[in-house]
Amino acid sequence: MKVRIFGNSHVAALNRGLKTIETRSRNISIFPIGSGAYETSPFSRFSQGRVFFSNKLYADNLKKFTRNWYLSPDIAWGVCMGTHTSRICRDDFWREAEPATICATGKRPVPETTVEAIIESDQRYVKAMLTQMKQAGLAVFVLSCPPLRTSVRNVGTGVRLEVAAYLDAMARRNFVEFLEKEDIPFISPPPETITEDGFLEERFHQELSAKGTPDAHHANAEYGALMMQRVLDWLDTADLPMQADVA
Amino acid sequence: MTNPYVGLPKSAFWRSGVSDVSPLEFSDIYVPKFRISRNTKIAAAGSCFAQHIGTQFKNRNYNFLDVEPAPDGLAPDMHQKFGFNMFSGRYGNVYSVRQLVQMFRRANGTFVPKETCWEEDGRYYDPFRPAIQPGGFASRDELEKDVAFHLSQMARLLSEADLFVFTFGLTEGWVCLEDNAALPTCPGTVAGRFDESKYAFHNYSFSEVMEDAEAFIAMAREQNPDMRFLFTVSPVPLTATASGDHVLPATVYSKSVLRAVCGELHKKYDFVDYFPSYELVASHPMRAMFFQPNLRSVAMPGVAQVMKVFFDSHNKGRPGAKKRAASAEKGPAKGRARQKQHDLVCEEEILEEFGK
Repeated sequence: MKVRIFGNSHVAALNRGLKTIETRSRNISIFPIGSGAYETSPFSRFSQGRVFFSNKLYADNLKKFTRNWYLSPDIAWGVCMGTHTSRICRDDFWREAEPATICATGKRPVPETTVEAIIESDQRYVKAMLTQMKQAGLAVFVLSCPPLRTSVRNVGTGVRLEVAAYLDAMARRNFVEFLEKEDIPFISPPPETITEDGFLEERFHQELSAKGTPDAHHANAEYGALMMQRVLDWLDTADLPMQADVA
Repeated sequence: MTNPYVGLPKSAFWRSGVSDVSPLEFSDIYVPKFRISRNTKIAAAGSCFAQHIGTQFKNRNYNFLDVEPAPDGLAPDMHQKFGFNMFSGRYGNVYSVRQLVQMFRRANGTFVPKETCWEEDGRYYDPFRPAIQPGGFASRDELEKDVAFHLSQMARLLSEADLFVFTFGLTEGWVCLEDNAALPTCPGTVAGRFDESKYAFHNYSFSEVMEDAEAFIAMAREQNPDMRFLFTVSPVPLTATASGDHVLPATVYSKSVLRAVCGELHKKYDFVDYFPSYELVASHPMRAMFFQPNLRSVAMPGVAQVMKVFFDSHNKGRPGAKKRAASAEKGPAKGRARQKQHDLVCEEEILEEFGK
């Protein structure tokens, strides 16, 4: 079975990494569905047994890279979405407010269920898409976006690192719990890429884009290679038919 | 022969003011006592009907205060569930003026209730805002922190507002016997457990409501001597009465007391205005046309008509004053610029890797 991995901009590092490793004769490729900015609005729909993208950019990219307007049942789909926590952690709100459990004096305490609701607001449409994919009977697995970088705007500057780490951990936990309930396999980041505090190790930061502009957000090709190695290792044990075509 | 009725305007007579006129076209039913401009800092509280008033002020770009705004990352369809975006703070429905006075007395430290937490199945509820946190707070400590923050924000509200809008909802309520603390709902309905040794029904009289209203006015003007007030009475009948009476006369009693208090305050103070939302929905010339089939909930066209009368009255005779279309919700410009910059980085990353 062909393996196609899609997701937000974090798939760029995965693609760069994939090019540097042995794919073990797997027919596997990666493509971007579009910026993560669209993940917080409805972007997919289930119709007549199939999953389509209702977001035009996502739909056009699916068509461009797979020649289909829907997610084909002949493909095992890897989704790199849902654990992109920088959107939550860098929000200016957390400069003045903190989760109640760890709230510093002078900050607005935010109750746990409110934090969960904020996380749910961020993740719900990705979750909706994954539920639709299961409904459509598609083979689907999720691979984690890279761990949060401490260079992301606000993180460690306006927003305390402890707060960012708390939010990141809660968001990931909530998402993984959802995947477990839906029986969707999850491939976590390589342990050696994560600091003790849960952030991306600095050596895996992409400091500059290919254009040379500063990048405070993405992981580099070395991270991508390690992550794709984990994906391939998982695929070796997963119950998916092999197809020995050249990718 | 002449008398004081000769020369009165048409609005003073039942025939010309009501029965010969469409109920959608009552003239001069509301003549504002003072102007409310888009610079006026407006705070609002009250029962469920009052939420509509706040929404309309916001939609029309008035300077509506909210000292406990919703987190940016919380989806708008979840705001009300968590008590956000309803009034000027996260206090939920304030049904009685006793509750209102009490809230600000707690904020300034002059009243500390004895009972501050209800526990149920390992979750914790605020007796004074039982519906504010769906499923309750995770711990007593979390509840106490939330209350402390809430009251700190309430302490600022009176000093910041130029105009306080309050919709009087009910005269019936429940109190804690230990300290006479007014509860927004009967324990055991939304949260808590009813215990007749701890809680009692109270139906506020005209003099009690009047005293509470004047206490609130005094408290507010102590912080802000120029504060003005706009009072209305909710047209929504009682869901149920614990008075022992039939719910219909119980409702009429309640609304009559509240309406009489508003009338008295309106006459007594030049800085208190009264807007007849009650009359515009619930009085018999309106033929109950603005109620839902349950004759209790106000339908949205009714809310719209009431607010149209309000804003048209305030804009009357102001050259060039036009109804402003509701603007799309916009975050602060700075935040949008930052988000755009971040999105650019992500778009670039995709283009660079996959664009070739």
